[in-house]
Amino acid sequence: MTSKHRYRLRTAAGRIGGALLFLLTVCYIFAALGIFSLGLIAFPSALLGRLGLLTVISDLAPLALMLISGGILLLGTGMSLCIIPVCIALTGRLKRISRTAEIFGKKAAYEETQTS
Amino acid sequence: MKKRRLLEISGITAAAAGVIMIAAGVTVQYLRSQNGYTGSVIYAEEEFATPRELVVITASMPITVEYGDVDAVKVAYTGGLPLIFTEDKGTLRITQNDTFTIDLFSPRNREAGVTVTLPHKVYERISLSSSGGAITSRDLNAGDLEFSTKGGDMTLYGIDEHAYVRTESGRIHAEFSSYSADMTINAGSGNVELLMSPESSIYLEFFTESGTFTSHRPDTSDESRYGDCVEMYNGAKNKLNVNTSSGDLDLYLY
Repeated sequence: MTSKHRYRLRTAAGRIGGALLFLLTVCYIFAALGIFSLGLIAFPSALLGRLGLLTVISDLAPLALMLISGGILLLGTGMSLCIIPVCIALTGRLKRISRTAEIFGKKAAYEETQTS
Repeated sequence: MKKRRLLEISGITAAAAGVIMIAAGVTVQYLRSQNGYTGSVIYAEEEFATPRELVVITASMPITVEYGDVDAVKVAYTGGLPLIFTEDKGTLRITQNDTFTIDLFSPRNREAGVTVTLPHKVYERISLSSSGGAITSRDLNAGDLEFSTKGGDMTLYGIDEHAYVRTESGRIHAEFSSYSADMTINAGSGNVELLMSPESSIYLEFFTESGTFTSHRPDTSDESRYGDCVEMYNGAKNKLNVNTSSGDLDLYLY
């Protein structure tokens, strides 16, 4: 396998990897915002239910409902706070992939001129 | 860089605390379920003496009323709040408590609904009304039959006597076995599907603002007609009046 082929293979792998990373990040952002919104509705409702101001119908026991809805709110908040670091990490990873591809490209071009 | 680090730390801490709380909640629920706790969804069955009139009013609970081989009225229901039953001067009134409620993590409450099984008899009046719930009736026989919903769908089998059917936006599916009285159907923006026997003698009046009428009878053309129309079948003994604002009317034979 020549450097040119290796370069092409690595560029293709890099592109697929980059697309997958991008997809993963989009999924993460949507999941974070979704869990946060669910918690934002569920926890105050469970709290109002415990205070007797709202009738809450649930398959869960009252304490379990409070803990689970509170947990969902905290998890969603945490995940939402991590969106910015996750995005920064993704752009860093993408830059690294493109830089590696660039280096391999140059190497392949260099090797090609040497052999010719 | 410091801000990002701070965000990372607080985010991971909050997420970890959330996961711990969810795990604690799941554990609490598991322990409670081991002790027989089944949440706040009610599964109940009640029995009442046969009334002359039956009135059922619900907010969102689907209603099913049918005849059965029973000696007394049987009411079975699933829901978040208990139903209110009132028996007064031969009238059985079933109403749904409509206080402000919220449904949280309760897939079982999706099965909510009330099923009334009546002993075979001709009742003076049966009135079923729901705001968002669907109504299903099977072969009911009463002097006055009233069905009304705001957005709930209606499935009516064998309504051959006097009936008054009204919905704002629900779909209506009605099947007649031997249509033998006048009837009015007001459907607003809901579509109406009527199934009748080939022998039914009907004078059909369809008044609509922007709906279409389609007859799927083999003895008529299958074309859709926009706007009001009048049809007569087999001598037109009984009158059927269908009014809609934008709902369509489809006529089928079985």
